[in-house]
Amino acid sequence: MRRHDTRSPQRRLSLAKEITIVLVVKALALCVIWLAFFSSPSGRNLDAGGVARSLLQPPPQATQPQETERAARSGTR
Amino acid sequence: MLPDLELVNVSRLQFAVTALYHFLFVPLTLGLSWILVIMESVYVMTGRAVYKDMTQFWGKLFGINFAMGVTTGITLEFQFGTNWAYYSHYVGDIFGVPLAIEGLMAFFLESTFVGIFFFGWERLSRVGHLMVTFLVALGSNLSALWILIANAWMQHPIGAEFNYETMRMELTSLPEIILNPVAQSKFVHTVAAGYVTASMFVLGVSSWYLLKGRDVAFAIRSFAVAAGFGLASVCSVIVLGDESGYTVGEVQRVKLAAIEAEWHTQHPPAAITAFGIPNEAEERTDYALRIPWVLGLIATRSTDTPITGIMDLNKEAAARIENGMVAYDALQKLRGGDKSDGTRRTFELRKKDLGYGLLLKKYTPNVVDATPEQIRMAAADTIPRVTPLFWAFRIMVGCGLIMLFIFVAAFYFLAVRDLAPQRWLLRIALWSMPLPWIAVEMGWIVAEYGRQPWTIAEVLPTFLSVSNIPASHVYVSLAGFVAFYSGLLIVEVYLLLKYIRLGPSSLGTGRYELEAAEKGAAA
Repeated sequence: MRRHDTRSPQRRLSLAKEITIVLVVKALALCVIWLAFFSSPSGRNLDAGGVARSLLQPPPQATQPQETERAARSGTR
Repeated sequence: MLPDLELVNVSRLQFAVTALYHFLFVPLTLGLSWILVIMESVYVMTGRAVYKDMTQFWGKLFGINFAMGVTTGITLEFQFGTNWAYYSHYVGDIFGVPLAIEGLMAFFLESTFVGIFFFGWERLSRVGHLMVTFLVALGSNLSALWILIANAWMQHPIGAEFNYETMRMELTSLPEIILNPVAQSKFVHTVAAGYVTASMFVLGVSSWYLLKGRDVAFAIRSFAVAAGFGLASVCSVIVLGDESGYTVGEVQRVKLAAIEAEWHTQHPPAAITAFGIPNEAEERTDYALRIPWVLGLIATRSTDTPITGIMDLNKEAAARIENGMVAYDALQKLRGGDKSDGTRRTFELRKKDLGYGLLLKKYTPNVVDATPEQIRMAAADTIPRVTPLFWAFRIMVGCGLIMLFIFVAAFYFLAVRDLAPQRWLLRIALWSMPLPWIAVEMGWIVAEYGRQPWTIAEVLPTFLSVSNIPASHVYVSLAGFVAFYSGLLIVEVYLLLKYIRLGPSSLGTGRYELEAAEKGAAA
């Protein structure tokens, strides 16, 4: 653990440079993630009618099998 | 069509992963900023260079943590619009206000002054720079205040009302949201936990220098600041955690009952289960070690107020679900064009239980015709799983007690000027550095998992909050987040370890050991 960086101060990458590089890479990564996965939020097109349809109207088919299974498990609690 | 539960679970997992990761950075920023204020204040008052060096060195580590942590919370906001569209529509008007203020605080106050902190040493007077450091700390903590106000509203939604015409919750009182009792207790408890985290960090790193015999004058002063601030903070966390417990007892009874595995309502004042193994199948706690009175005193501040147990809360939920079915029926009529006084009155009277009615959507498309069995199953859903909450809470408290011991011991041996021979304490302080992070993450698990099955307590069920998107999309973005955050974590740990190893020599003042060693080697 006593080991330390023996390079001259000029050769060491300064903290400011290291942080700048990390911040630039991070900003780019965030942009990529946003563009790839989050740039078209589905919530943008939701209105009161859409929410009412989702919450109030019965779905076209009955409960899905996995929900029934989960319901059965909850019922044993 | 209702979203499938796989989508709900993976959306929750993604949010949990990003939130827990984000909160690895936040507590250190919150606490280290005040430690810098303390160190720099001593420098301004005494003019001793070692305190300036301490401010600059710990400021470097603060800067690394800040740079790695900044914007990791933004990804949570990405998710609101994409994965949680119904949530965003339903409560966005209210939730968005504190979130926007938090963003403004973070960018215009915190980030601006962090920049001046690093580049203003030669450009500002001593007092002027101290004011900047103070504003960094204030900005960080105020950012936390607003995000915690938003979170507290999800736990205890007051100051808002549901409007059937817009199908969303609308703000009725901003002061009520800001002065939410859950927000107040959550804020002070959370920031105090951040102060403990930073104190343990400084204490642990300083202990390593002391164990190595490196830069002892620098390390012992850093150790002293951390011990004093940490002791005050850990005592605050315990007292404020007690206040938080009282608030939970008042407004989140289900969460309290689940945390304490309180299956049945006890004769007051209730005993606390210090240890036990919750048996969810048989609704009892095996091998329970109970301490009389304590839970009653903590959660009710009285000896005659009962704490409602899970079984009774379940019955209350069933009654509210039946009320919610009536509210749901009235809402359907209102949305269908029946705006008669009778329908409106029925809805107004029962709408506080609409959320309970919505719980039935998991079991039946026709909420108003739910069977007693479906009501029973939906009522069972209102109780979060006991075992994870029970243990997460106890791990958090256990970590807190260990840290209390460390800070008391550190403060005592400093006060009697006998720290140097206590190498066992220095080793414990070093190896206990992960404890505050474990504690704060457990605290968030208790807070958020304990709110289930709701995103907004008693208003909007989690399974109705998600968007209509394929689960595969969320899996892919989750994989992207894991890769991105893992990379950041590796860089953070690398940079922190690098500068911790260099120690105050990284400041280039010529006063510290590694520089002297380098000069010697060069000569």
